[in-house]
Amino acid sequence: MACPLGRLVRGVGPLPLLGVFVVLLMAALWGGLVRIGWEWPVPWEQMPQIHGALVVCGFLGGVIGVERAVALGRWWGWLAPACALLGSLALFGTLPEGSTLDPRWARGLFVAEATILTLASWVVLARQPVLHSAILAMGAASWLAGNALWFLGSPIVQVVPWWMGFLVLTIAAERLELSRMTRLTLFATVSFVTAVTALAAALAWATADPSNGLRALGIVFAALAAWLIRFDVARRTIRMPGLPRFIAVGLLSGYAWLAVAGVFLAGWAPDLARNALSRDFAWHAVFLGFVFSMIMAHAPVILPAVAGVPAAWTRFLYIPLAGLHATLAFRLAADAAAWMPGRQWGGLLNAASIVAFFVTLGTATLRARTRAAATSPIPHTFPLQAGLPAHAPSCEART
Amino acid sequence: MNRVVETLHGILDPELGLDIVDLGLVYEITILDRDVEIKMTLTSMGCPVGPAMLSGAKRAVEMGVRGVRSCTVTLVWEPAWSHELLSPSARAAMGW
Repeated sequence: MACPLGRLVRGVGPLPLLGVFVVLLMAALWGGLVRIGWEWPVPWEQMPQIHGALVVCGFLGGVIGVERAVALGRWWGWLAPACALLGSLALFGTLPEGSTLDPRWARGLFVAEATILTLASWVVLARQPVLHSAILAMGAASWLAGNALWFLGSPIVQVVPWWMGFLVLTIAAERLELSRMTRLTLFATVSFVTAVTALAAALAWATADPSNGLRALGIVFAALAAWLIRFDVARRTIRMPGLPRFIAVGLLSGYAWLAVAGVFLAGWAPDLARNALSRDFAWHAVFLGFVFSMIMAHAPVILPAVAGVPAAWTRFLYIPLAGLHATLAFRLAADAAAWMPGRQWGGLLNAASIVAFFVTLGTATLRARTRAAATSPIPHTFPLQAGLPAHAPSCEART
Repeated sequence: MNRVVETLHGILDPELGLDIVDLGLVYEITILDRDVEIKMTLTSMGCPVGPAMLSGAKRAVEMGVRGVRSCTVTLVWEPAWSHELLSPSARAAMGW
């Protein structure tokens, strides 16, 4: 038995599937802008309400699911992004004949999606029982917990912290894996393990006691951000030219937003239950500032690797990255000042930065594909070394 | 042989800016007549970039080294990668 989506992907490549998830993201952004006050028509009535779920469970879950399926190499790994797609369609909630679909269909599909991702993470952990694999599995389990709570009827404000936990743990695990390239001290390893353990505890606490639990979660987010800023390999690669520097800039600026979110939650957690602006501040510092900065940093790497297209970095990608951070600072300042027009315009400019990023990356990818087909005798998805100092061979080739 | 190694030095990890030879990912290169066999590893089994890195190495050798008829790249997990496999220049770049 094989997953139909997996068969389709093997036939045409993952790029069309990734394209569908980007379209879902665009729909989510549109709904979000209507939610923030822009009076635009929406083709589906539910679009403003489903903004958050479409971003996290549809787009982010779907893209992470594709990444994990490629790494896993098993047909059933593709069931996760398939559930992301079906769940996202179910979120729109209105069938052609005009009836409204029970929202538990979408939530149930997202539970299935998270379950498959958790299983895939456990398979990787069983193959390679190392710390970063365990934290990846923890992240997937956090998402499963949040989606299960949502399915059982918990309010979204209790679910979102688990979604944040999923993304923060997933990203932290991947950074820890890469940080093995550097000299990590015993203190660094112990403090990291302490932080992720505390994060798991804070998530459970936040469900039982949102005010104090979210404060604790904020403290952990701030601590993790400090760890990442101090120990991530990005501190070294920011000195290298080209794509390594771009990735490092994206990462380090994202960590700063995680710290901002952490400080805010630690100080203003009790306000979140009653103040939509406080929730807007906290959620978007994490999802936009931290998570989307990671996406922008890594898309030039992941897209070629997963979709089999030529690597396509261009320094013009700095423009939407800088735009995201500047407009987010503006928007969150407007949240803090309860300045509604500022929120609206900030949100619009956030969305414009994200759209600009995908347009710039897409254009660069098309150009690279054309250039590769026309000129290079070596079709490659990984950039060949150019302009860097030669290194002495480090391994003996034996015949 | 040297040309194969040189070509593999051209395959970079895009985030680290270091090549797969200096990262210690290439364990063994065997040349039989015009066929090349490479055994290499990755730093993580969950790495989505891994399959592309392997196929990139294969294509670079097949198309960039004169006289090569075929190149097979085999992914191995033993011995497990560790930072001790980094080349001296890679260790310097990573702050060791």
